Amino acid sequence: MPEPLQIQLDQHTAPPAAVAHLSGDASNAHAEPLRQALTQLKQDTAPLVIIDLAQLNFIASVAIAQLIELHLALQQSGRQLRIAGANQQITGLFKTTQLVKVFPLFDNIADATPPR
Amino acid sequence: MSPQPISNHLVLDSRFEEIARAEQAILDDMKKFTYADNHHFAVKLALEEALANAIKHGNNLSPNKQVTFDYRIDDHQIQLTVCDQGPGFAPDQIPDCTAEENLDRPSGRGVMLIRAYMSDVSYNDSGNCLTMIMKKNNAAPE
Repeated sequence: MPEPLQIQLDQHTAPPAAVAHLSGDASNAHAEPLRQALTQLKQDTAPLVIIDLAQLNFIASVAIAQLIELHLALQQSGRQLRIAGANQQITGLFKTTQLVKVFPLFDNIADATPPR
Repeated sequence: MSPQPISNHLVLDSRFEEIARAEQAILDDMKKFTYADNHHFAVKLALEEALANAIKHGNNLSPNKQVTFDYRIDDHQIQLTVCDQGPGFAPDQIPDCTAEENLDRPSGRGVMLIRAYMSDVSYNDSGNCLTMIMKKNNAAPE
């Protein structure tokens, strides 16, 4: 059975970053809770937002669109979005869509977090 | 010995929640054959995008319209057909989402993903019926 999307928001203090951990399936049926979580991240003030996909099994284009909207909103306020921990299939999808040119992809949250 | 081919026909309401039912049906049937994880991901992705387009853009989320989903699985390929009750569209009119100037446009990636992950994609003349074929020996993008 497709797994429901779970979203957990987290704050790192050193260096300051807002982190969203996604797990399950980011599909059309779960677009609204993802939109709400990403809206919260837009309103956050942390200079860096990391989307942790380590436990995410699947991502549909609707969720990709939401990540791009978040990226554009953060860019406007001089902040940055980084994607961490995507599995092989999701990484492949980002490469297929050429979105690796838009989002820096990192192996894990530690790699996505600049040194103190 | 190869398993017998499996065919199925589903009628879905125009609600995104129905997509999971369709995905579950075909992914369960795929497990009876020797398809790899990448094939499962490709079918789930293409079906998710095709059904979302049919429900949202084809049927305009109308409770009075339905989407039909037919599939046939054998040991060599999977054929999926998704039809809606909308006016249809011209898939070639969609801007190339991988072009540099379109990379940060939020929408317009569904049809491109279907084409990238399926071996063959075709529409009927009116553009409201999409047939996708995934051949087992065609590797999906990794």
